[in-house]
Amino acid sequence: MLPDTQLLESALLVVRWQRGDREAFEGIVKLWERSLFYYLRRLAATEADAWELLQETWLKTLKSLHTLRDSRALPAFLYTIARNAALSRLRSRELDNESYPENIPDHRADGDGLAFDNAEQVHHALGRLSLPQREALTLYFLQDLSLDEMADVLGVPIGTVKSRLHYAKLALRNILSPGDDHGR
Amino acid sequence: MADKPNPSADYIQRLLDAEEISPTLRRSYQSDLDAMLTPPLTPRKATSGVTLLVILLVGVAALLHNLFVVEADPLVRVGWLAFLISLSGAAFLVVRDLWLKKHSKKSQLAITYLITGAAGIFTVVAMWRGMWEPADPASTFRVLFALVFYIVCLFWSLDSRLAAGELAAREQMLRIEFRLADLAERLKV
Repeated sequence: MLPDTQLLESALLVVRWQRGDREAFEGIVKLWERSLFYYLRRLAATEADAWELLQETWLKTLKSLHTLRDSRALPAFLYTIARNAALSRLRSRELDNESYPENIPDHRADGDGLAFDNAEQVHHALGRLSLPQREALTLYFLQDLSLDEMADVLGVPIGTVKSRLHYAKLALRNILSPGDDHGR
Repeated sequence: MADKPNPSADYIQRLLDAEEISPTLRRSYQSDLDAMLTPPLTPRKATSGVTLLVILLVGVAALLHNLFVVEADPLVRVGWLAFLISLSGAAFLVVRDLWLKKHSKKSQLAITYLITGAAGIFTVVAMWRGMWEPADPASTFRVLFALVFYIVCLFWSLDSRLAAGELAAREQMLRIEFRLADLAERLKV
């Protein structure tokens, strides 16, 4: 999850913007631009598309930020807008088409799971995952959202998020350590 | 590879740094973003601003006419003058926003305060005059009219004040929480 200070800082910026401080929006952009771009780049076909999607995300955020009652929900709010922008560009609903068995244990909670020390390798391997797995794992790595928020953003039950993450981690391990089923 | 239960801030940073970014595309995005952050006034907002301005200017003209042409008690003149000052102030704020091509919440709030303040003074004047002319039905009507206008303005102003007050309180709470969280993080370090 996000550090408290970052979450509070972004919540503060939202309230300042709602009070009429136009410059606060620039602060929100600075705070979230990189993570959102990283996420959108995983969903977009080209870098140019990702920049366009990011711009679209800010435009939609600017138009609807006044409706955000709980300023602490900004991360989920931004990722939802970004995802919807990306979805509307995708010709097929690739993001929703994969299904997984549910009731997979929460690997984030029990500490079992990631063995992906090399961020650069992970970054490149993410591109080889299927779109739904890539998306879920990107959100997981960025750590901006809780599992509940991820479920909201992805529009699926929390069980689906857990199973998607579980299979995404397995797939990522297979890419990073071919021949070693569990990466150990 | 070691188990990593949760990506650390450093890990996230390395992941973000691994993303290759084209400087040209970045610059193009930035210039588009800068343009977006200083948006021109939309025609809808501009129309409502111009409409309000016309109403305010008609009010100013009528009050100027009353002050310089119509004979009236000094007390009534005080009421007109108060109204003239507040309507002129509100008109100035609207013109400033239209000139700067922006829609400012602070101006909106200031306009509600100005008009409500003027309506309050107008009501007091109407009541004061009515007290000395209890037999005159016109004075009762004037008091009633002023009171209704004042109540409408009061609700408008109260609504704006409550919304602004709630946001101000939320901002203060978040500032305190932010300082505490920051302090806690420093202490951990």
